[in-house]
Amino acid sequence: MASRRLRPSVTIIMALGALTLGYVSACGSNAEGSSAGSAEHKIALITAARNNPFFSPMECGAKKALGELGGGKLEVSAPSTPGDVPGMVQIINAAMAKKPDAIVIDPIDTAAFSPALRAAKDKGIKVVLVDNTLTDAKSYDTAIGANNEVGGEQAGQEMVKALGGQGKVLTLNGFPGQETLTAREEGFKKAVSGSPGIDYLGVQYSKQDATTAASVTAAALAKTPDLKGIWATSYNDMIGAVNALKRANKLSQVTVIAWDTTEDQVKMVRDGEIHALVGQSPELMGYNGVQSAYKLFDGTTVPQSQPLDTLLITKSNVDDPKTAQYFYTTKCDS
Amino acid sequence: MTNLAEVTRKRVSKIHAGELSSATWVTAALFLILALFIIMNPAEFGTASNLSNIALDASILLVLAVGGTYVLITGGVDLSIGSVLVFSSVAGAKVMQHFGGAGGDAVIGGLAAALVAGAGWGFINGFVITRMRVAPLVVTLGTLGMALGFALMWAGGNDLQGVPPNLVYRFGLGNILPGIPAVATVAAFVALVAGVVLAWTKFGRYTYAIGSNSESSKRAGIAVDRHLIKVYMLGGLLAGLAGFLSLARFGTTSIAGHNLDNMNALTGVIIGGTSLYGGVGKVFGTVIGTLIPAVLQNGFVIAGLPPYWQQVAVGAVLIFAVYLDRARRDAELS
Repeated sequence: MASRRLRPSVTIIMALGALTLGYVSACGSNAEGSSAGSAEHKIALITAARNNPFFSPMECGAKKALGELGGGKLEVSAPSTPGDVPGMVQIINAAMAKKPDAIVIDPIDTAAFSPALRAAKDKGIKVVLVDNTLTDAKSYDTAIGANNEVGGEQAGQEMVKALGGQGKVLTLNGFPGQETLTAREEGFKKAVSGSPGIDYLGVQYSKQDATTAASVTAAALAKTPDLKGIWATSYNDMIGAVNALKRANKLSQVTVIAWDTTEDQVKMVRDGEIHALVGQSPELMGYNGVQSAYKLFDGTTVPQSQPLDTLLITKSNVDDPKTAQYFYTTKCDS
Repeated sequence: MTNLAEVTRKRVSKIHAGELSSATWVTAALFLILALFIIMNPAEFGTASNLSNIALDASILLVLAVGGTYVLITGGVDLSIGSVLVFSSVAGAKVMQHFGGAGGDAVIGGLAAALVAGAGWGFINGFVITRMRVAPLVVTLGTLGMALGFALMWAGGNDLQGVPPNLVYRFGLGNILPGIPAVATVAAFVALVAGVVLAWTKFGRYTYAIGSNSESSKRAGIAVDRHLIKVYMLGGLLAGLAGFLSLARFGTTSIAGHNLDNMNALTGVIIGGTSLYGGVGKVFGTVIGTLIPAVLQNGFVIAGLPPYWQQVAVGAVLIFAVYLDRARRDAELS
C-alpha cells in the first residue's frame, strides 16, 4: 500500500460496510467521460475514490498525459464508498463491457483484483497498475509506484544531515510485516546505519493509530530523554509523534521526518514544526500510467516494475513550483 | 418458603463474593504490573509525567469502554463504537470548519455535533435491536461499516482539520492542574458519573436486571425495549464524546486509526470483570481493565522489550479475566 488513504484493515471494514449495504452503493460507479480529441484509444482509470486528495491528482496526471499524446478517451471510475474493494471489482467488469484499450488501476488490495484483471488481459486489454501492485505478476503488464525503500533512504540521509551525524533516532511504523511500510523502515535504517555517531533505537509499532503512536512516543521519550530524531512512516504516526513531543515540550529538540504530504503536513514543514517530508506523486503515477499504456499499444517493451522517485521536501524546497506535484490535493493545477 | 429464600440469599452472596474476587484480582494484577515496571525502570517509568501520559493514553478508550460496560451488562454488545467515534469526529470537524475553525462557537458547535451524531447512531442500534429483533452483534456489525462508510463519504476519504488551535493546545494537550491532563480529567469524570449511576440509581438497576433476565424484567414492569434503546444511545453518546476528545487531542479526524477501538474497548471491559453473559459488571473494573493495556504498552517500550510482547500479555490477561468470570458462574451454579 503506497497510499496512506486506504490500508488493508480499512479496506476490510469498507468491504464489510459494502456488504451490509447490500452492494447498493457498490454498484454505483460514478463514471464520467472526459473526451480529449479523437477517440482513438480508450483508457479506463479506476481509483478507490473521487474528489480525494490522493486520487484527484492521479486523474489530473492521466488527463495531462492524454492531452500531450494527442487525445484519446479517458473514463474515470471509483466506487461510491471510498476503498470498497468488491465495488472496484464490479467496476472492472463493467469497464470491460465497454472494451477499453487499457485499464489503469490502483489495486488497493494485493490479491482481490487479479482474477478480473487476468480476464481483461486475456481479452487483449492492457493492464497498468499505479500506486500499489499485485502479487500475481501474470495479472498485469506494468506497475508504477513509489520506491518506498529509496524514500526511506532519503529520509535517513536527511536525518543524518540534520543531526550533524550525532544522536539517537527511532522509527514509528504502522504494522509489522506490511511490505510497503517495512521497505520505508529498511531504507531509513540502511541510511542511518552508515553513520557511526547515530544510535538507531529500532522501530515501534502504532497500528497507524495516532493515540498509540503518541503513547509509544511518550514512552520512548521517558526512556530516552535525549532522543533526537523520529522517522514516521505515515500520516497518523506523525500526528501521534508530534502530539507527544508537544506535550513534552520537546518538538524543537527532536527532528521529525515523515512520509505523506497532506495539507496539514506541508504546513507543518513550512512552519518549521517538523523537519521534512518524503513525498510520492500521485500525479506522476497517473501521468506515467497513461504514457505506459500508450507505449504498450505501440508494442514498445515496458518494464514490469517501474519504481517512481520520491521527493524529500524541506523548508528550502517546499514552495518550489516543482514540489507541488508531490502534494495531496483535490485541485488540478494545470 | 424459607428454603427458597435461603437459596436466593446464598446465591446473591456468592455473586457478590465472585465479583469482589474478580475485581480484586484484576486490580492486584494492575498494581503488580506497575510495581514490576517501577522496579525495572525506576528513573523512567515511575515519574509523574510518565504516569500522567499513561492516564492520557487510556482516557479516550475509557470513555468508549464505559459505554461498552453498560451495553455488555444488558447482555448485548456494541461493535460499532470505533466507527461511530470516527463519524462523530467528522461531524464535529465539519461544524468546526463551518464556524471558521476558531472561537467558542466552533468548540461548542463541534461538541454538540459530535454528541448528537453519536447518540443518533446509538438510537439506530437500539431501535433495530429492540423493535426489529435483530441480534446486537449483527446490528452493530452493520452500523460499524455504515458509520465508517458515511464518515468517509462525508469527509471525501480525507482527514479533516480545522479544529480550533486553542482547543488543541489548552484542552487536548493541556493540563487542568500540573500533571493532570484535561482529557484524562473528563474521562475520569465520565467514569465516576457512569459508575455512580450504574451502582446506585434505578437506571443502573434496570440495566443489571435486563442483563440478568430480560423476561422477568418485563414481567416486573420494566419497559425493557425503551431501556435498551437508552443504553445503546448512551454508548453512542459516549462514542461521540470520545470522537470530540480525539479531535481536541490530535487536531485531525485520524479516520484510519480507529479500526481496533471496538476490540480494545471490549478487551478493557472484559478484563475489568464485566460478564459476557450480562448482568454483572462495574465501571470501576472497566477503569482498571482499560489501564492495564495502556500500562503494558508504555512499560514495554520503556523496558525495551519487543513490542509484540505487549499484545501477548494483554491477550493472556484477557483470557485470565474471562476464566475468573467462568469460575464465578460455576461456583454460583454448584
